[in-house]
This record gives sequence, structure tokens and C-alpha cells, in this order.
Amino acid sequence: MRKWLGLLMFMLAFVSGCWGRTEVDQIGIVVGLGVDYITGDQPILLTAQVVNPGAMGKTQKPPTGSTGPFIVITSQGRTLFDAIRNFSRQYPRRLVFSHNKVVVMGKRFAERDLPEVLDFIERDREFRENIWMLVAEKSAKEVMQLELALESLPAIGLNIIMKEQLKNAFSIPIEFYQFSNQLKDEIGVSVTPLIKIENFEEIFNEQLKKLGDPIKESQYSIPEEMNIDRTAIFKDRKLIGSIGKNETRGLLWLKNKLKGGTVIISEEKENELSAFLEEGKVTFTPIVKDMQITMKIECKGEARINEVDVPHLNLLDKQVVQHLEEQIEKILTSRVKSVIEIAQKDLNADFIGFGQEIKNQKPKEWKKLKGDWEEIFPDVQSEINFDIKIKAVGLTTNPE
Amino acid sequence: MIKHFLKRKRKPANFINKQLEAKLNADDSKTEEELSSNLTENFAAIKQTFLNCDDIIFRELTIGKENIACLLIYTQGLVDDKIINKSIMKSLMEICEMETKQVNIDVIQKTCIQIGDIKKFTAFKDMYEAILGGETVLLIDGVNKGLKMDSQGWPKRSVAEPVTEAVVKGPRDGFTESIVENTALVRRRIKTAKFKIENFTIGRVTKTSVMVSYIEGIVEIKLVDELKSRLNRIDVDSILESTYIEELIEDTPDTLFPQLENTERPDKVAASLLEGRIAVFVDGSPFVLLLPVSLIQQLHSSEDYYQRFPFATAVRWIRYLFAVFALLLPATYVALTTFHYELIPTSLLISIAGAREGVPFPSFVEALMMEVTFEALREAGVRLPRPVGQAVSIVGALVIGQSAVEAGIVSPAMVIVVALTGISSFAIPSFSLSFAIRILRFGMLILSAVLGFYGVLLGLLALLIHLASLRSFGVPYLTPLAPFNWQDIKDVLYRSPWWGMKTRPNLLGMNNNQRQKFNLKPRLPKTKF
Repeated sequence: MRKWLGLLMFMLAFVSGCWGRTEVDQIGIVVGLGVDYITGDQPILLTAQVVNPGAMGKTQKPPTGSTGPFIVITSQGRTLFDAIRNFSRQYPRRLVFSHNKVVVMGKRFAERDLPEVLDFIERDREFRENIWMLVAEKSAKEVMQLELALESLPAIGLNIIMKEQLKNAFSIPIEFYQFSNQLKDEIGVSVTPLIKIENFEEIFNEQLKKLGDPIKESQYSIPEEMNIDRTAIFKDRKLIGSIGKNETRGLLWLKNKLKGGTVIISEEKENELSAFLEEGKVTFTPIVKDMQITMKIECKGEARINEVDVPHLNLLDKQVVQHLEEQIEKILTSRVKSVIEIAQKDLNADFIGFGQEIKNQKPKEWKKLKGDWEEIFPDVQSEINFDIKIKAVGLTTNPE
Repeated sequence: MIKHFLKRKRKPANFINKQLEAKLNADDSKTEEELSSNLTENFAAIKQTFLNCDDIIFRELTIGKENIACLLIYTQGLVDDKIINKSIMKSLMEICEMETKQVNIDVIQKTCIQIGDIKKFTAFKDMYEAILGGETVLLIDGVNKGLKMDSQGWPKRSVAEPVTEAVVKGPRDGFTESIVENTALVRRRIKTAKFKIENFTIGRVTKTSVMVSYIEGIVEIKLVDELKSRLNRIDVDSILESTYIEELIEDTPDTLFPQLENTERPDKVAASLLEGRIAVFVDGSPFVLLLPVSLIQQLHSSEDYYQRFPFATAVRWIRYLFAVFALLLPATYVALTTFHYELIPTSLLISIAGAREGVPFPSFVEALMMEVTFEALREAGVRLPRPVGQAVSIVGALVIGQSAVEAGIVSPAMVIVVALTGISSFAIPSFSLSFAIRILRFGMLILSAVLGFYGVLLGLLALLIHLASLRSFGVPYLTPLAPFNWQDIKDVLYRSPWWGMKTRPNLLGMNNNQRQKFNLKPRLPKTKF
């Protein structure tokens, strides 16, 4: 009996074969995936950023003619899975998606076919749940093909930019599981950063030319750059619109994600002063009376003065500081107000989280409200109260 | 075919070929005879026995006024010439001057010979053993007894630093090939009559002396009895090294793991004896056997107890970590790079993939090749004469480390893994244990190449089951982790400072558990001075 068992163990170990085995140099490591919707009978277009480890591992630059640190490959299919399978028709290496960092959705795709990608990523073994979700202003393919300065792999760079948001926020990064959960729950609204590709080289050169300082052709030209300071709004599993830079900053307050940001105060006509918000915290207090809801929003924050261009401003004077604080509060209030306005009037999407707050703080009332939330939300009154404290004025005291 | 092999029954363990057994016993019977009182007869018999043994010296002389014929026998080279000349010959010659006393064997034994250890004997067998053991034998005409006198003095290696267990801080003396000196080195450290040393003679031909030592009152006496019975079972022609004994008395002969500890260090033997363990000295071997032993003990070095405890604890943990590395590092690397890419951080995966680009072999073959080469290099380094050894290791390092990478046969990551594994296996203080781990590493490598981490886990489980089933003289091999003992953790997870070593190890020192007073932790004195 024992002998048979031994033989069985032996066979278990050696007859089973190595079906899952692929050497690490025979896989294609996908770090970024773009999903687009095109017309035709194979409407899903995938653009994958695959690492070219041969060019990455060496310290010297690869000889001219050879490919760079990453390769962009595309595949088409009727569904997302179909398209992923179709990669193998054209590329010899097995693609591994477990190191994928970002999924960029093209605008057209996000407006049409979003539930599919959500379900696939959730269901698939290789995709991680914490990949960043992004929306491209135009097509995702364009984003995937873009080179990023200072980082050889653009998708990894994007990953770093998203992580950096935790310290210096200018948009609201969102990971897949949050995105998926938010879209699935009863409010069904979520946001992702919106990537816009801009050619700053052209813009700047144009402006310099206008002023009379044209620049000759230089070998160091600024490549096209990603600009991620706007936010895409999703509702009912669809992209419904976007908000601009200042509204996004207001949204950061409401989402309690503020980890820094600059505020520029125009003290007099040409003299400006910038303050850096160190930290901000917001508390919501919903008041529900009959069917009328008032949301009290208390924002508290700390700021430090970074740059003063106002002559003879005495920063040691309490009244001056108080005046500055009021100025900052005014700017911030207007930012927050404009977001709420867009959410209520233009989009009618509760991406600012009022519903979530009522649900958390007044679950009984929420039960009554949630059925008609879409009708109720635009009429929610809000009272915004800012309280900013300037904590530091930097190493020098007063400007000369 | 397979069925045939599976059905075939093993021969019973106590199967003995009776003819061979009889042949073995035939040699021993002759020497049981007693000495006769006629010197010439005895002389002839001895000459017959030592035929063609030209290193045996027969010195005929006459003593006393009656000119009694005497015969002095010793082995050239095994005796100290000074003792023969000064203490024996001179004394015997001087008997002529003694007039008052009758010359007889008792007088010679008690008043003449100036030697400490002097005994009478009657059997030829005893005499032969004495002569071959370096003693000098005196036969007197007309007496059917002889005298054997201790005159040993053969060439020996002096006490030197142990080669296999060097320490930075701690005593530098190591055992030599002489059993007498070895026991003396330990006796010097334990000055109590409770320290017992019992002599056994094992080996039909070699008649090797084997000594069992323990401290009465600490050791579990049943353990000593068990050891003695296992030693008495041994009936072989020769014992040339302590491993002969080790393999003949261990609990589970068919395992990779050593169940007795080897040491060259007298201080380690002393410390082990004080823990309630038993030491077995074997003549001709600088390695003393210590038993029982646990797995954890073999990961401890004697230096752990000579360094201050925080450092010793840290070093101990490094050693544990590297023991795991020695077993699992290549297997982990192969499993990660062929099955579980998602477990490697992205940037590391990219650089590993970049380094592997263009390597012709799968990483398992690569690992196997490199590991085998490393083992060969290590073996060659041991065998080669010392000056050449260094050259070999340089060439080996260059050839394998650099050329193979440059030629693109091996990836640089693999070289790092193999080098780290090599270092790890030397971080294990016990050579026998590190050998076991080195062999198991290959098994793990194969499992990981076939089944990935699932295979490694299977292997580790099997290993755990095996280790838990092992016993060293009845003591569980994984003690004190399994069976768990909270008290003994003081010498496992950390090295407790000496004022915290309040008790002896639980299973061994049960008889005499307390080691020291309970409040020895130093404090500042209350009064100023």
C-alpha cells in the first residue's frame, strides 16, 4: 500500500507536466492597457504597452534601429476578451496582465461599453483590483503611445503620477475596485481623472513668437504631454461629462482628498500672493426636514504662504493675516460652489457624495429618500463654511 | 515487472550468515591462554604471535644477585624512550644493589619501578593488548604473571585551533587524535568527580578505545544505559573515525539529517555535558559525538554563548534566515520566474526578464547546472592542496561568474542566486546539517520547476512531517518547538543572557533542572561607593 502511495506521489509530481510553466523571457509584461471603441464588426480596440526587457535591462542605450524600452501593440475583437485572445495571433509571447498598472478608457468606449470592461477585469485572474482607472479625452490608443519624460515606461510613470496625488492632489485618482463598487451601488456615480494630451512645445513657441522671441529648431523639444487636471463623471455606467480644473479642486475638498494645492490671491492688480494648502478636512452635516434637505459643509484647512509679491505687506500683523485668510476662503468657496452647481444643475449626478453622507449619517431617512434621489438631489440646499488658518509664512518674514 | 519488485519481500533485519559468523569468531579463541611460569616457553609463544612484527622489541636482561632472567617487551615508536631508559631499565639494574630484600614480582611492582600506572596480568590476551597499546611488559622467569607499565609516548599532533568550528571570541583549543588528551581537555573544564568517563573497546581488529562521558546527577541515566547497550551491540572489525560509531548507533539510519552532533571543541562538549547530554570520545578522531541533538541546536554556534546576548541573538536570526535561504532560494527563484510572475515587483521582474533575454536554457536547467558546478567547486576546493585550492576558486569564480554571463549562457540574476545560496550553506554551523540541506535543495528545485510554489509547499510539508517523526535517542528532533516548551524558547528565538539561563533544557536536564540562583540579574548597588 505504502509503495503504491509512493508511486502515486511520484506520478503526481512528474507526470502532471508543466502546463503553467513559461520562462520569464518568454512572456510579454503588459504595464498599461488602453480600450477604445471603434466601429465595424470588431468594435473593441485594445492598445497594450508591453515592456521590452532587452532594452530595459542594459545600462547602455540600445543601438540605433532597435526598439525602445516599450512596445505598443494593438488587437481587435468583438468583445474585450476576444480582443485579448487575438493578441496571440499577432505576437509570439504570452501576454501577462498581472503587472498592469493602468487601464485607460477611450472617451467613446466609456460612453458606450463600460460594463463589459468592469466585469472582465473583475472576473479575470490576472488583472489586479487596484489598477488605476483613467479616461482619455480622445482615444486611449493615443495615450498609450505617448512617451513620458524621465520615465522609460509611460504606464509606470502614470502609476507614479497617480500615487503622487496622495501628496499633491490635482485630480482624484481612483482604483478599479473603488470605481466598480461606486458604479454598482445605489447612487451609481463615480469619477476618474481625465487625460488630455497637449503639445506644449507648440503653444509655448507660439506665444514666444508673438512676443518677439522666436525659438529656432532645437534638438531638445518638449514632447507631447499628458495633462491630468480634469475629471470625468460617470453615471449609470456611462461617461456623462467632465468638469474643469478649478471644479476638480473644489471636488477634492468635498471628497476629503485634499492633500495640498496652491491658491493664488490677487491682492492688488498685478501683485499676487500664493498660498499652499497643507491639509483640508471637510465635514458634512445633513439636515432633513420633510423633503427639504440642507447640507452643511464645514471645511477646515491649514495653509502656508509660499510667495509674496505685494510690497510692504506685514505678515506678522494679525489683521493682515486674517484678511489673507478671508481671501483664500472666498476663492475656495467659489470653487466648491461651482462644483455643486455643476453636479446639481448641469449633470444631475451626485458625484460629490451628498447621498453617501446622508446614507452614512441618517440611514433611516436615506431609506425613504433613495428611491427618488435623482429627483431630490438637484434641490438639495448647501451651506458652505470655510475656515482656513495660515500657519506659516516661510523662512523670511516680510517682503522687501 | 513493477509488480514483481513491489511484491518481493525484504530479508529480515536479523538475518545472519552463520558460516561467516563462525569465521569471524574463530580468530579470537587462541589468545585466551594463561602465562606459564617458564620464561622460555612464554618467550617462544610470544615470538610466534609477533612473527614478522619487527617493530616489537624484546629486551632480555637479568636482575638481582640471583641473576633472574627477565624479558622486557614494548613496541618501538609507541613508547617514550626516556621512560624505558630512565624509569624502567635503570630501576631494574639497580635491583642488584638491594641486598636485604628478596627479589620477587611484588617487590618490583611496589618498590622498584618509577612509573605511575603499573599493573599485573596473567593472560596472553591482556599482554598483547598492553604491548600494542604502547605499554611496556615485564616477564620474570619463574613467575606466571607479568607486569605492564604505562610508557606511552607516540608522535602526536599538538592541540590546535579547531578547523571546522573557528570562533572569533572564545577558547581556541581543539581536540586532537589522542583520546587521552581529548578527555583531559574536557576534564580540565569540569572539575568534579561527577564527571564520569567510561571506557569501551570496540573493533575486533583495531581495538579502538571509545569513551562515554556524562555528568552524573544531570544526565538522564536511562539515556546512558541505552547508549551503552547500543555500543555493546557493535561488532565490527574497525573503528577509525567517530562517524563509524555515529552510523551504528543512530535512531533512524535512512535519513539525511544527522542525529548526533560532531564537535571539535572541548568547550562545546563541556557545555553539552552540563545540559545533560552525553559525549562519546573515539580514539583516533578529533571529532567527539554529542547526543541527543535537536535540529535547532545544530543551528547554534558555541560562539553564540561567548558574545553578548543582543549580538548573539541577531546573529542567530541571520543564521536561521540563511538556513532557509540555503534550502529554498534557488527553488523560489525558479518558481517565481517560471510560474508566479505576479509576485515579483514590476521593476524587478523587468530587470530579471531583461537579464534572461537570450539565455538558452530554462531557468531550472540553469539553476541545476550552476548549483552542481558550485558543489563541484566546493568539493574540489576541499580536496586540492591548499595553495592550489585558492587558484581553483579564483578560476571557478571567474569562469562561472563572469565568462558564463558574458557568453550569455547564464543570467546574472542566477549567478547572484547561486552565490547567495552558496554563502547561506556555509552560514550553517553544523557541517552535517548543511550537507543535508544542500541535498534537499536539489529536491526542492525539482519540485519548484515542476509544480511551482505548490510543489515547494508540498516538499516543505513532507520535510516537516519527516522532521517531526525523527528522534535522537528518543528525544524529538524538533524540540523545543515541537513538542513546544516555553522555557526552552530562551535559547531558540533569542539567546537569553546568562542571568536568564535559569534552567537546563527541558527534556535533557529534567533531573537537575535549576542551573543557577534566580536573581542573578545585575543591578546597581543601593549604596554609593
